[in-house]
Amino acid sequence: MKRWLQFRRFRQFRTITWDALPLYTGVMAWPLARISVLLVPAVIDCAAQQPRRPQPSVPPSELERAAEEFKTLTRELGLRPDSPPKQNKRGSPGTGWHGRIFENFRNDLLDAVPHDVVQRGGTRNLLRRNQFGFNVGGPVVIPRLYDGSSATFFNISYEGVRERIGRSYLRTVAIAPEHSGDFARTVDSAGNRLPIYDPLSTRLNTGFDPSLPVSTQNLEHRRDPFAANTIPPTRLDPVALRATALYPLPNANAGPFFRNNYFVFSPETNHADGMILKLDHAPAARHRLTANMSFTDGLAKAPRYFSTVADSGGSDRKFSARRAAADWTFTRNASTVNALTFEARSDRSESSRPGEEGARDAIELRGPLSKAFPVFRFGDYLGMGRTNPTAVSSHNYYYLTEGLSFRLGKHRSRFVSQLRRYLVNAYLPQYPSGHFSFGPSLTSLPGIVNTGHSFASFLLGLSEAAEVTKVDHPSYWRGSFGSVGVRDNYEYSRGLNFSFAFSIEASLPRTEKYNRFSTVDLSAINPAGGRAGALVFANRNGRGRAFQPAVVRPETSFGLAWNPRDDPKSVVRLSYGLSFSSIPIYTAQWGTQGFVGTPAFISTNIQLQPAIVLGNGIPPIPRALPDLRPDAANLTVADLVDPSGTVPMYQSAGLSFERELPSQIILAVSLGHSRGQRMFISNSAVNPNAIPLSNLAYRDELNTEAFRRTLRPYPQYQRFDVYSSWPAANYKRNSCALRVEKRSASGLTLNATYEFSKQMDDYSGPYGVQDFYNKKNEWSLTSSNDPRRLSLSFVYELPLGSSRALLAFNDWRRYIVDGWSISGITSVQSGEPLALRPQFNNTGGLIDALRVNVVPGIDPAADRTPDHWFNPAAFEQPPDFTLGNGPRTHPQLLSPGNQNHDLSVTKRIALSAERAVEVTATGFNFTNTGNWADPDPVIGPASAPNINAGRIIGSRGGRVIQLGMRFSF
Amino acid sequence: MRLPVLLLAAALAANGGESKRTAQTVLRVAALDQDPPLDKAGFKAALDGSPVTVLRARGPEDGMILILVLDLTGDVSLVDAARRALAEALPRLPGHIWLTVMKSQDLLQVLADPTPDRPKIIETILAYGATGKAGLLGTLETAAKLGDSMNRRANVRVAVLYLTDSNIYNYREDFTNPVINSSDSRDLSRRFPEQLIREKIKKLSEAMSSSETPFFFVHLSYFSDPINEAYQRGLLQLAGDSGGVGAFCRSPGEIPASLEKVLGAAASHWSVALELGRVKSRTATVTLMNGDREIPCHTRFSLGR
Repeated sequence: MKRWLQFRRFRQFRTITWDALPLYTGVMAWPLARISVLLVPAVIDCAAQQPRRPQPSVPPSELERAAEEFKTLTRELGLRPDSPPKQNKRGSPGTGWHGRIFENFRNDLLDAVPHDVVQRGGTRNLLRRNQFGFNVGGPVVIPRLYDGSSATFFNISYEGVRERIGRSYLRTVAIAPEHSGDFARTVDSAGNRLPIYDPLSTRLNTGFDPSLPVSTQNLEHRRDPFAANTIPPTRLDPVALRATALYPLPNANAGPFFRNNYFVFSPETNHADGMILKLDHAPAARHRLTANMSFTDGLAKAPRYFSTVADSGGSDRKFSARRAAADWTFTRNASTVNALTFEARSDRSESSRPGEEGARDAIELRGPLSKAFPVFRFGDYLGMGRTNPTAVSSHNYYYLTEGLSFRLGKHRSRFVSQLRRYLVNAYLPQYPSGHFSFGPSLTSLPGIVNTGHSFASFLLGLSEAAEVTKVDHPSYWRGSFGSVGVRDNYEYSRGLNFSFAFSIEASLPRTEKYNRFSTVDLSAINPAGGRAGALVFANRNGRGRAFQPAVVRPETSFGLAWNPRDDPKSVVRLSYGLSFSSIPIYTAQWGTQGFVGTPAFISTNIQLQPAIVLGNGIPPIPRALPDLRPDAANLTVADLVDPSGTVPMYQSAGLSFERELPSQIILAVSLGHSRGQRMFISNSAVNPNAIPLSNLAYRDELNTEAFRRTLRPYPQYQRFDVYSSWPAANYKRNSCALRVEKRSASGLTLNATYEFSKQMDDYSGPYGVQDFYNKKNEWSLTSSNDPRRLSLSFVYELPLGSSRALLAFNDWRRYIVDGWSISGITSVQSGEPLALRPQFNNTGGLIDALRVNVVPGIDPAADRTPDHWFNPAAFEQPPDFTLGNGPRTHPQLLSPGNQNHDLSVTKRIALSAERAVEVTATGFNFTNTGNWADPDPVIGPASAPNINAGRIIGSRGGRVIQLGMRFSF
Repeated sequence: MRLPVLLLAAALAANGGESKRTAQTVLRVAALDQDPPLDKAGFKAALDGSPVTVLRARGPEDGMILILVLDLTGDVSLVDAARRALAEALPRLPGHIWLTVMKSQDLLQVLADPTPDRPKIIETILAYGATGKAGLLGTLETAAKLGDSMNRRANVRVAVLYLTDSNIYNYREDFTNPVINSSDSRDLSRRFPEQLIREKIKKLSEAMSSSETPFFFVHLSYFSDPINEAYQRGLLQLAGDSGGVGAFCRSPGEIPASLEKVLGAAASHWSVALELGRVKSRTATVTLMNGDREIPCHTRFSLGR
């Protein structure tokens, strides 16, 4: 009790001290302060920290007068609860509104002609672009109805774009004689005449020795070349002939040897309109409601490579996006905040090209096909027809999120729970009029590379492979996710803080609304042959609606922030994170075989027999849809869903040190490491039905489909389509970055970052992997890895005008010299690792992405020039039916680096305290720097080397100027 | 395309121009105390290079009202650390410094009137719930005007100190220029994303150039994306131009030290009154000397309140 009384007296004294001190300043405060110093250790500390100053001598009336003035003013301004209503201002919309109106303008008259256009002889570009809009926001006031000037606020933004732009492409098309079957001038990549053989003259070579490889001296089949390397007109396929009439002729000669002979300058017309609306309202002091809505609608036209119905330039795309979100925040007390959010999103895309109805009729191709133009692909030549000529997809996402933030002792925590629901609807018939692939084999000397020609095979109507897509219904995919997590910050001491987060996410597997969902089950027995692997269907034969299990995965992260020696100018951060990604709800009709028909036509031997002859058309599809038999996907590329539910795992760790130096310079050094395991990959990097490469020993026998089929793990299928969802890829990345920031000095602000990194993986690249069964052998530099990257940005408020160092005019001239600023962004980065490939892939279809062989003892990077970016002599085409021993991406050879310099000059004209006009001229790549294109990565055989290998044939880029004006209020 | 141009023309036509100036005879210049401390009698000043009379100087020993504005909306963990740091730091301020607490959400609002009563102020701060939208940029001008008014009516120093965790993305007013048409792949207008915030800072800077109240701030976190960096640079510029100073906390552990440093700077700042006489120009550049030292201060003023 005695102690309690002492404590009470102590508290009272402290209160008296604080209350009384200013009131008795000059008279009583000093003695009281001295007493308090004697009694209250805390005050001793304070006093010790204050500079030694004469003691206060302010008349109390001055501070009281100031306080009274404060009360009066804040009452008048309506800044306090007891303020009288603002009679005059009540109900006046526009009060307190801010916003802007803007226009950005681009025209090719202002631009430099792009380097690639100049190199093709062009003299101008095409660009007309207007981007305009407004933004306005402020309190909601409806005269006589509602005054939300301190409780309800809105913000609206609108932006429209009208654009016409020319885009350029350099492609290769058949030269004029080839259109009529004359290949007399057609040469290989070494400039040697390329012989075209007559498939009708194919006959067995009685002198063939099966114990020796096929070669020109030991042919298994003999075939005669066409006389004068020209296909007689009577032999030309009528459908191919009609299609050829719709195919363009060369219009350029970048070369070599008629290659890169078609330069397209295609104008595109695009437009878009979008709006964002935000509303927030505070119905009570501790409650806040917000609502956000946005929409965008537009049209993005695809480039036209040529102006006929056979164009392969893609479909025009109409798109729309909608988003709405509502959020309720409840502040329970100073340390507890609760937030509940609901969000809905919808994106819709519709692709088509009007005016091409009945395009297939133009070539009279027969079969159970749609009216769109079919897809023809012939090697390196520009193809005809478009994939997905008509497609519609929509994504609808719903999120419900609950967050609770609170404090518990030295712990500050946040619980978050979220429910997500995805609905993805897709109608994507890929090849409704068929896809026909033409290769050189059927016009080659069987077994001998660098003979025959894809376009010659096309003119004869001999397709190596064909496929048709028949889709009667859209697919309606559904998926749900839920997560619960907690994040905790713990202050161990003043300069040392820990953070920890842990969450659990559960995802339900992908399902289809009407159960039109199927996959190959590798354990089910196929009735055709009794082998393992048969098509199974959701919600049938005792199966559930999904083929994957529900997945529950824990995620965690840890962080530390430490100020060494309690010095706030230095921070050390350490972090680690472990996370998993979900199985996406893909926008595709993958996994619907049986409901969707994808009949495939396979050649029995692509050197001897076509899969389809164009003039004969596509045969009737034997089975009606839906075809729910287990063998419905036999002999096709079958859709395979990974049944394990494995999801990618990502880990990252970081260490950084940041130091504030004198003169407002901040220096930061950081080290980072990240890795991903079991990441989802696509068909180019995984093939569970691949033939093991040891079977290359069978050599030319592999060209026979019947034999090759026997070697596949699942012979009833050509291969599997795993659609970017097979969990088998890995990567690892290490990086080091240095950042320097000079915050402000005479209006100049600089920010520079240099990063050095190295990323390795076993999947990336333009061609895919060579050996599906040996991923370790695929481990090489990531194809998109830029090992060195420098970025620099600056803002400089020019020291001109009134009250500035230069031209400090106070008369009319200040309108000219005031308000100038420039800002710039520069980026310089090294190139990416080159992926080289051999010109020919004579492996009987076992290898999709054959690599080159490395020639020992030759430096691939010697004497580097744009014409000789790498030394092709350091590589060679692997012999037939052998693997390439080179890396997937080369460890030393990088593509040319990139640099870009953007500059913006702004002049601000203040019209009043609240209104100003800003005029901006921005130069993108203002130095008009051309960045080299990538070198030709194709390595030909010793007998016919690709003379373009290692050569860069042009550069790209060009200065673009944008003028903008913005009125802000 | 024509619509914005027409609207712009209409807006320009409706513009009433600059407000008419009235006579201003005294200019109070805010300056930070230095090491060693400044001498009260040693101030000399020049206006656009011409010497002017120093009427009086009020320094650390003189009374002061600190307008503490809470602009806290985000991470409770940081806000809580800041509240506790304030509760520890405020009792150490000298007693002749009175404090008033305001919040910046939904316009500036008074939470506690100017008072020397530290426990009351601390209680107000601890009870403050962080919620809503960031409000610093929208309320700074009003806070400075309040300070100016008190400064003119009473012989005290006034400073505005914002305790903020504002993120440029959390403002009600749009400074981030978010992508509206996501399919517009050739949009280059957002290549320099900081333009809107720079424009706002310039506007505020012009408005604040007529204010005599220094602006201080403590920002609880530091963001490193380009728009937030521009915003943060702008805050530093505004504080520096007004004769104040600001600090960013890059980790929660820095909050107490940063707060103490900025509070100390605000508490010890100087307000030096200069005689203007007949000023012809709208703007003036002030040079402030103490003995032989040139003192960093609010240098550039717009005149004619």
